[in-house]
Amino acid sequence: MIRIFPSLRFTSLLSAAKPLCSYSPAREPPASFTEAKSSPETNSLSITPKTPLFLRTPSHATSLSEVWKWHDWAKDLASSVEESSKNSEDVLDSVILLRELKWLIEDSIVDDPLVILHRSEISDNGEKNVKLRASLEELYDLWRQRIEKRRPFQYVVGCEHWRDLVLCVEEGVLIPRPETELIVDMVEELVTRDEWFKKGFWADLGTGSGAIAIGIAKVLGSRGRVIATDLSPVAITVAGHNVQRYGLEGMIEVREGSWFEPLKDLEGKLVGIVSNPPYIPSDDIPGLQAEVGKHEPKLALDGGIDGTDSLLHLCHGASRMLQRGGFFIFETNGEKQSKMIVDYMMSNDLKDCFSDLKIVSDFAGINRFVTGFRL
Amino acid sequence: MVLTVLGPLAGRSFAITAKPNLLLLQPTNLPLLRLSLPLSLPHFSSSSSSCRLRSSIVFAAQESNLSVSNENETSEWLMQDFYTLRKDVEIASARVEEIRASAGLEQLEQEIANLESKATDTSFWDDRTKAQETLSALNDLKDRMRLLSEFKTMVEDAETIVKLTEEMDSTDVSLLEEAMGIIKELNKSLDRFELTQLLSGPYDKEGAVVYITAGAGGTDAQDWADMLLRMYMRWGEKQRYKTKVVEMSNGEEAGIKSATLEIEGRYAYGYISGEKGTHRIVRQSPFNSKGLRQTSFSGVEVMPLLPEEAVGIEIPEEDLDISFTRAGGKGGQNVNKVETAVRITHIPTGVAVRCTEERSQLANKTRALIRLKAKLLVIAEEQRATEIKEIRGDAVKAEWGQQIRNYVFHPYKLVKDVRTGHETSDITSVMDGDLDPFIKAYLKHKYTLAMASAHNLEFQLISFNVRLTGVQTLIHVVNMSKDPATFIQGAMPDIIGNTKEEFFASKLEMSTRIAQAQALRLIPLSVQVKLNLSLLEDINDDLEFCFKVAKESIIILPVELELLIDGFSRLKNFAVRDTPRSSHGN
Repeated sequence: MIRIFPSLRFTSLLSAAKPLCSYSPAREPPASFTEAKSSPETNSLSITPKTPLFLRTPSHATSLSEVWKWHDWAKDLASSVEESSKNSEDVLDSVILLRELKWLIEDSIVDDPLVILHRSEISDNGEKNVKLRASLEELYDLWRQRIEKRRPFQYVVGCEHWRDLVLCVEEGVLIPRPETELIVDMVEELVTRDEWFKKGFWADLGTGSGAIAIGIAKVLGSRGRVIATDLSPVAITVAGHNVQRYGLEGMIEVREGSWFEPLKDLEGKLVGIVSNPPYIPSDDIPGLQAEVGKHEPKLALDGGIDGTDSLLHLCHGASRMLQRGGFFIFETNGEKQSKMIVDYMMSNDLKDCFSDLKIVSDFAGINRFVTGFRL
Repeated sequence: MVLTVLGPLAGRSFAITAKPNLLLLQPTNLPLLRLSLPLSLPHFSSSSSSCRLRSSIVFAAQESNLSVSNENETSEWLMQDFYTLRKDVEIASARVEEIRASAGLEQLEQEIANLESKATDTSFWDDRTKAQETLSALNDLKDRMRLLSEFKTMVEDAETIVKLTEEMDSTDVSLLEEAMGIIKELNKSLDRFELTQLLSGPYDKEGAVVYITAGAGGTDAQDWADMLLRMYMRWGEKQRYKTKVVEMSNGEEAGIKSATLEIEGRYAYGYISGEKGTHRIVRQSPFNSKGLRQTSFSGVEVMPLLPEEAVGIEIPEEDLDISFTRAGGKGGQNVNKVETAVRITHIPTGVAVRCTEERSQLANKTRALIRLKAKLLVIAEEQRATEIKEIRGDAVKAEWGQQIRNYVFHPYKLVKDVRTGHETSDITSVMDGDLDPFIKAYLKHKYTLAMASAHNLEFQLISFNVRLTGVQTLIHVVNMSKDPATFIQGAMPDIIGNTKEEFFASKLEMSTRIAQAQALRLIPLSVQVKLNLSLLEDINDDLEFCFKVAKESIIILPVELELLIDGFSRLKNFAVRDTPRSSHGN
C-alpha cells in the first residue's frame, strides 16, 4: 500500500496563511484534501527573504532613556503574562520571555546590550544615543506581537540559533527544533566512521530553512553533496538564502518540488536521506501551542490522520532512491509512530529493503528518530 | 591597623572607643587586657605616612571617658611626620632590598639574556606558537626587571629627601609630601608585585567565570545572591576588568536565582578563585514586615575562563550525564520553546555545570563542557591529582558547600572571613566591591598552607616571636615539626638598642633577621611583641612602631599577633591579641 499525497503539503501552506483558530473538535477532513487541486506554479512568484533583525543596518539612533523605557515596558509585559492566562494550559513562561527579551536586545543593538540590561551599573543618565537596528516603534510592535499574538520569538527576530548556525527564518518556514540537531550528530558519527558516505549525494527532504542540509554539508566536508528539496516556495527562498549565507552553494543544491520529485536524476544513487517531515496527526493540530499552531506552516506540521502520511511516502521513496548501503534518518512524532514506521518498513513490499532499522530517542527520551540502511 | 592612639598621650590620658565585637575585660582585675585585634595585613594596609591615625579604634583604659588633648604645634606635627616618613622610608627600603634579593637579580638577567639570544635565532619564527610563548615570557621577565629597578629608584629618591631634610635646619613641607607620595606609591607597587608572586597557579593568569546561586530561603536568599553579583561586578570594575553577566535568572519577587558573571583580564581568576564557597548573610529581612533577623546563604563558584583549545582534557562519554531542558509534552514539531539549557554532570565526581545563556542547544552543550572541564581541572589542581580520574569525588562534595565568609548587617556590622580571620566592620565598602583585603589575606593564607605542606611542616606548631622589650628587641625563632628531620629550633641573638635612635635603627636589623628566617622557610604563625612602656618616651610613637614591626614580621600571613605591653602598669596593662583562627585548631 503506497499512499502518496503530492499536493497535500502545498495546500496546507495556503491554509496556513489563514489564522488557524478553529478549536472545533469536529472531525473534518483536513482542509488540504478539498483544496488539493491548486498547482504549485500559482504561488511561485519571486519571493525575497526577509532580513533578520541582527543583519539589518543600525540606522536608528535612539536615546538610551527611551530604550530603557521600552525595556521596562517589555519586562512588565513579560512578567504579567502568567496571571492573564491562568485558565489555559498553553501559557507563556515569563522566565523564558525575559530571556527572549535579552536576545531581542542583543539582536537589535549595536552597542553592548549591557547598557540596557544593567542600567543600574552604568553611570549614564540616558542622554547618550545608541544605535538600533529597528526603530523603537517597531520594537514595541515586535514585542507586542510576541506576547499578544504569540508570534514565535524566532519569527520576531527573523532567525533561529541552531547548532552552531544562525539560520534566517520567517513565516512559512518551520522553525528548526533543538531535537532535530541530533540528526546532524548522527550523520556526523556515521561519516566519521565510514568515509564512503562523504563522497555521495545526500538528500534533505522538506528542508524548510535548510537547517539539516547545511548542518550535514558542514560535517561532510568539501566533497559532500546535498540536495535539499521543498514544496514551499518560501522555504526554497529561505533555504537558498541560508545556504548562501554559509557559502555552501557549491555543496548544497536547493530544488523546488514535492519530496523525491525533483530528484528523478538521482534514483538509486543517493548515499543518504534525511528528513523531518510533517508528522503531527491532523487532530492534534488545533490543540498545539499557539506559537506553533497559529503561526508555523501547517504544510510542515500536518502529517495526515495519524501523522504518518509523509513518513510512509518517504519510506517507499527511500527504498527506490538510496543506493545499496545507503543510510536514512527520519524524524517522527515519537513513541508509537516510530514503532509503526519500523513495522511498516519490515513488512509488505518494503520487506527485505532495509537493514539495521533502529529507533533512536531524543534528549528527552522520546523515541524520536528511525534510522536504517538500504540493503 | 586598628589599634590607634589619638594624639600624643599628654598627661597619660586615653580616649577609648572599642569595636562592638571586642571583648573588653576589666583591666583592674587583670594584669593584661586582651583585645581582639583584627590585624590588617602587613603591606596592604596603606603605609601610614599619616601618623595621625585615622581609624577609630582605641584600646581600653580604666577612665574610659577621658578626652584627647590635641593642641600641638604645627612644628611638632611636622617633626612627627618626618619621623614617620623616615621610618616608612626605612621600612620600604628594607622591603625593596628583600624583594630584590629574593627575586634573584643575577639569575633574572641571565634568563633574559638567554631568551633574547633565542629570539634572535634565525629559526626562531619557524614555530610561531613557541616563538610567541618565548616572547611573552621575555616580556614578563623584562617587566619584572624594570619593576625591580623602579623600586630601587623610588626608594632612593625618598631616601635622598630624608637625608636632605636631616641636613637642613628647616623642614620643607613640599619635599616631605613628595617623599610621602613616593613611599605611598612604592608600597602600592610592592604590594602588587608581591601579590603576583602569590599568583603562580597554572590558571591564575586567566579570566574567571563566577557562578552565583541563591541558597534555600526564598526571596531573602535571592536578594543576597543579587547583592553578591553586584559586589563582584563592582570589584571587577575597580580592577578595570571587563565584567559581563552572561546569564541571569531572576527571582520571582526580587533578586536572582542564579547568575553567571564572566570577568576578563589578567589574573582575574587568581584573585577571585578564593571566593569559591558559601557566603552567609545575617540581617533584618527587608522582605519581612516584622523585620525579623534572617540568615541566608548563597553559593559562589569560580572557574577559570579558559579558551576552548586550552582545555585539553578528554572525558569519556560514559562519565558524562548530559541532560537537556525538555520542551515538555510531545516535543519535536509540537512545541516551540526557546529553552535550550544544558546540564552536564561528571558522574564520578558529581561535579555539575549548567549552561543556559547560549541560544542553541549545541552551543550550550559546548560551553557547558568547557566549563565542566575547567572546573575539573581546578579541582584536580587543588587535590594535586594528575588526572581527572584521580579526583576524589567525596572531597569535592564536601568542599563546595563550605562556608567561607560571614556578612553580618545586624545586630552589628561585620564581614569576617572564616578561613583567614580577616574582618572589617565597613560592610558598605565590601558590598561595594572593596574585596582586596579579603582576597589578599586569602592568597597569603593559601600560600602559607602550600608552603607548610611543601616542607612537611606542621604549620600550626611553628612560631616566630618578635619581642620588643623596652629598647631591647628579641627575635626568637622556633620551628617545630613533627618530622624530626626538619626540626629546627634556634634563637637569634637579641638586637639591643640602648637609645631611642638605636631602637629605631634596630628595626632594619630586625627586618633582615625576618628575611633570614624566611629564607630558612620558617613561617611565622604567631608574633609576640613585648614592649615595656615605662622605658619608652613617646608612647604614641613607639606603640605605632611596635605594631609596624609586628606587621613587618608577618610578611606571609596575617598570623596571630600578640602584643604584650608591660610597663603600662602605672597606666594600664593591656595586650592586644588576634583572635585565634579556626585554621589553627587542628
